[in-house]
Amino acid sequence: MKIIFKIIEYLPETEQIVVKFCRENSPKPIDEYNAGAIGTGSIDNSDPTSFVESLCKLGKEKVYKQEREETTLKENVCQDNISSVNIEDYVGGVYGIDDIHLNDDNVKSKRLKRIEIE
Amino acid sequence: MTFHTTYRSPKFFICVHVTHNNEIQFESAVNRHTFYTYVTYGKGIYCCFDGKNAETFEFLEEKKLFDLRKYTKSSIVGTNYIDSEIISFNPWRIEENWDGKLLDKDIKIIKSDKNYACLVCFEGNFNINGKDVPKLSYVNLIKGKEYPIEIRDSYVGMFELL
Repeated sequence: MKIIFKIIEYLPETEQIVVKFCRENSPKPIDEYNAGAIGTGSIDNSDPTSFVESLCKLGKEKVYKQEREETTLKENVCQDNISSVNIEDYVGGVYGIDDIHLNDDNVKSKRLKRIEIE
Repeated sequence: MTFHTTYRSPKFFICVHVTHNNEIQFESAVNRHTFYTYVTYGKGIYCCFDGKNAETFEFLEEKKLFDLRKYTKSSIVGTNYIDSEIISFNPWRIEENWDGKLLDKDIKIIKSDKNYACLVCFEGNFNINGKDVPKLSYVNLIKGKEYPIEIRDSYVGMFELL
């Protein structure tokens, strides 16, 4: 994911910027997202890369929140039944799983054992 | 040390946290999916931040299912007073409405009228419809169907998607 920002206003008197964040491939223009004020003291302006990185870091959680709150297209809603390892059972359906645990090597993730009772 | 293990199922996941006393844990609201927490053993406290508001939630009773649905949008800082094992029930989609409860020991028949319902074994081993269900496993219930159940010495959570 690429996080983008747009500084709407610089307020040197209060040492703040008014800035908008979203991800580059978000479904609507950055101008349609809400802006927030950030103190310039929280931004690392030691070099251009540090400036951009530190600002995007401040907006990261906001962008994650935007993504979570986006509407899921009905065509993309996952089917519930993931109970097969037969590839043919998956052909034509939409399946998925939250990425929350896919990238975190510190958390051990296993499949919860399901007991069939029907 | 704190050990986290996650057990995935299609509609929810279970997190088991085994924590030594006085460990500090943090979970950002972005990653927070916990609706209910079962305390196998231990005691502790969570401080839940929602914007400028902070609220504390203390868990002092063992073998109990705590309803944490009001904190799904909060960031949490927690610590345990003593060694603890905590098992949380987490829907993948936090916008869903779920209802959860711990089943009574003397229940003999179980039924759900919801389109999706499951039983999760937090401790021990229970029997439903002639099948034993051990700790950290689950069964799905068919809507409207009655199942004979023996809870025995186990602790079983029932979760229904509303």
